[in-house]
Amino acid sequence: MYGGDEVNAIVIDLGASAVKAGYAGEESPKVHFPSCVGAITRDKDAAEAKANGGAGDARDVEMAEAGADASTTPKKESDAGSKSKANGSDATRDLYVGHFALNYRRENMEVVSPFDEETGLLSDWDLVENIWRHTLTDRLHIDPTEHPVLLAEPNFNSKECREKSLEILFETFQPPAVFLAKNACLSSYSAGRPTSLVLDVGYKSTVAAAVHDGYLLQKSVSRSRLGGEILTDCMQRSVESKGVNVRPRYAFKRTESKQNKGTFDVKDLDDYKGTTTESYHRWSVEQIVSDLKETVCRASENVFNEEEHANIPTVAYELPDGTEIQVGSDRFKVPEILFNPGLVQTFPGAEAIANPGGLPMQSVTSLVMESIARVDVDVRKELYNGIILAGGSSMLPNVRERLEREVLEQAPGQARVKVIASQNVMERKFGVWIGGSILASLGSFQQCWMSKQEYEEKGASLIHLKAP
Amino acid sequence: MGDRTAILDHGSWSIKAGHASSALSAEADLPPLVTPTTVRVYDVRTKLQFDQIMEDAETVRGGVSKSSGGAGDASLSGGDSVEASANGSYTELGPVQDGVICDWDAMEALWHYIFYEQLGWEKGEEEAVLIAERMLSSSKLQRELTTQIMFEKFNTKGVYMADQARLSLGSYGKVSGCVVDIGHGKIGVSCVADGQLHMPSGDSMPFGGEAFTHFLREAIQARNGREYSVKSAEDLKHECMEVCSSSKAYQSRTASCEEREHILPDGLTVKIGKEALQAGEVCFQPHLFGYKCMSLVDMVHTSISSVADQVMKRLLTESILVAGCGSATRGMEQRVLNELKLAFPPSYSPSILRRPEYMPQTCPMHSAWVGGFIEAKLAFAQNQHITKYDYDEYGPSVVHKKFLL
Repeated sequence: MYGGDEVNAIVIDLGASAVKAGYAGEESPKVHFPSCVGAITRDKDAAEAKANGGAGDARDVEMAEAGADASTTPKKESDAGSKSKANGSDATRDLYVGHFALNYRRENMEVVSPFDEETGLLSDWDLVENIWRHTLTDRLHIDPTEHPVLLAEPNFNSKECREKSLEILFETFQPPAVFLAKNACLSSYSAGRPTSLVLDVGYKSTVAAAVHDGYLLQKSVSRSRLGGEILTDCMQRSVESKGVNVRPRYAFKRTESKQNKGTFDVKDLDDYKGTTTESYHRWSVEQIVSDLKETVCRASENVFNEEEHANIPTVAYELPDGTEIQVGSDRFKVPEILFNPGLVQTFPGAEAIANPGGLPMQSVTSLVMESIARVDVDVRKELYNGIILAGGSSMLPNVRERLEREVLEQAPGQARVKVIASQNVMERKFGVWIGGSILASLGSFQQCWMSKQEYEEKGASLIHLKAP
Repeated sequence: MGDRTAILDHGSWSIKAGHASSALSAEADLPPLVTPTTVRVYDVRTKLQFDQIMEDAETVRGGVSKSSGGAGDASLSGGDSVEASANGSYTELGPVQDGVICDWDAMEALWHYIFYEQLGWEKGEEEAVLIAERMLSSSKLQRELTTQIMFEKFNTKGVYMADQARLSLGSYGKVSGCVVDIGHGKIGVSCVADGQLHMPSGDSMPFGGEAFTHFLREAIQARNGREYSVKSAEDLKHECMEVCSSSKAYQSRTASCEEREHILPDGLTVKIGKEALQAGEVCFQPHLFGYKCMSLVDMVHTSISSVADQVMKRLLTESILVAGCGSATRGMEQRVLNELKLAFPPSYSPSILRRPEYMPQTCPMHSAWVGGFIEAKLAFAQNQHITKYDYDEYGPSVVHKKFLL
């Protein structure tokens, strides 16, 4: 058993889109960066040099690379600071973790996600280890052996995944104690309701799950493929079909025109094309379209009707290269996908949208209804009364009101339907993390941690008993 | 708040220190004390002596420059007397690296020197202290240890900690902005939104003033064919380094740059040509010098983009502050502004904050200290600091409760 006075636990929420991390007891996560990681596969020579150099950790990589640089390039090398800033590595790749490392375009850098496409669970454990290391050492500047770690995990996490997470944490970072908490439970903590239905509209999928007295009801967990990724994808197709070319910052160059100071010319660059990977280009464009989606889109209050919304005035948005685009009914059509997945087919080229694992594309309303239907009858009333809206994609305006209206239509007559969403929009994005922060700082929680000693004595499978 | 409340801003190159009661005006030479953050450790037989290097004697107020004294095994003495009596090998320590305090004994000796010898504190009558920290690189542990040392070793009346970026903006009268701190160890970019540091959007370039000095030193050694000390290279950097107004200007100027002779303060002559321009170009085109990282302006752009709120983004773009000693380099601010205009789309109007006329001339270079100077007047008066009572009650971790960042 682990218990301490001044706990100072670390809460890490590794989501499909972003990693949120910080100290327990605080209002918002101090660390926030994309969970995608840039990876460059090392070629054979450099890999051999590294093998000769010794163990595979970030410092060795930098030294080996500095060594390689000195031998292959005649440039003078300054002794202060390392040249190439790979802040992570595994056996075959140099990894670039975090906002700044990822935004710098490097040759042959692929963008990889630690999550498996089909199952939605963590699968690339080298990436996960590097992400954790970047969070704990580079961003939080802590010694992991002194802080217990609370990890937020998906509601449908498998036993193998949980055990593997523990194994990597304890073996590599050696924290004094670890706990795994389900996303839905944490969301309900942050809303302050022990019994609720949590609808988490995330990036790769939307998950509805019922929480009763702080415990997740496993049979009520239902997933839909719809999420921020698909919304962004549809937005991108719509924008591109109108002839707009979304160019990331490395694809163009702006120069001030000599004739009129203050006006700028934009020139297309070509030299990036040979060396930039497809995945990186796609990721960069996605970031821009994602920002567009977050800025202009809003859910319509009633069912979306193409003709009605065609009359609403368009809104302008400026792309990074200065092009101004006008967004009209797409503003409402894209968020409508959440409520009517059939609309995806109306976007040009939508058949190409990937759906590995064949997850159904259910609307959020039917997801909520299905989840509630799987639960015992006596609990359902409370669940209708407390539907918590969470997740980054739920930050679009009007989603809360629309969801309430739709669920009210489909719910049994006597049920009182209430959808709770925090007024502070950022709290929806960080809802899971905030719940973790609350949980880890509660006095009554301190006896629930799984300590390192218990891990060593009883093995990783103890977690299933300690954190059901 | 007493007259001798101390304001401390420790950087890896120099510590800025002074009293909160000095006068604030455009002519004022603030901060009163700028001393290098180096401690010389002598190994004389089995006794360790800590000595302070006093190279900037002219920047010290009140004429007190060298003193020796101290009891026990930590004795501090001024630079000249050290040279004369050096009777053992010594190592020079820089206890602060990139905002992180690595050597606590050395740091304590340095604080001892600053409080008792420079700021005129008397033992038994210590005052409160405001410390400017680099929150992005320092850890919770460092803040706790600092608080602990302040209260237990130095017996201060109160401690207040603030983030350097926030203080820098405060000295310009702003609560939100993007601060580019061109320092010695690294160049840091961080965003402060509504008076709070936005931690996810902060990061730093892997090089700083130190790297420029090394580069310049190697370049002139190659050109002149003889060795130069780091000190000469530093002086040369301060006097000659220049930043061209755009990358096109850089190309044309380095191509046509003529070699000229430059006389250093210590009398040495150095032949220098385009190296002065090259040193300035490193932040803006790092790939030319072998660094695989974003340019300074790209970092500012990425930093601002990672702040989610649209309104805040525009506000941040319009309040960019170039601070730190490197900001005084000729042409630096203009180049940053030129590049910013190219990096942001037309509807954003990036602008660099200008020093208000009523602020001292040294403000851009030492803006964190000046910000601390202003904040101290408010914070201590309103009891926002950690008092001795708080420390006794809650222990060192009270620093996290009192100051959220």
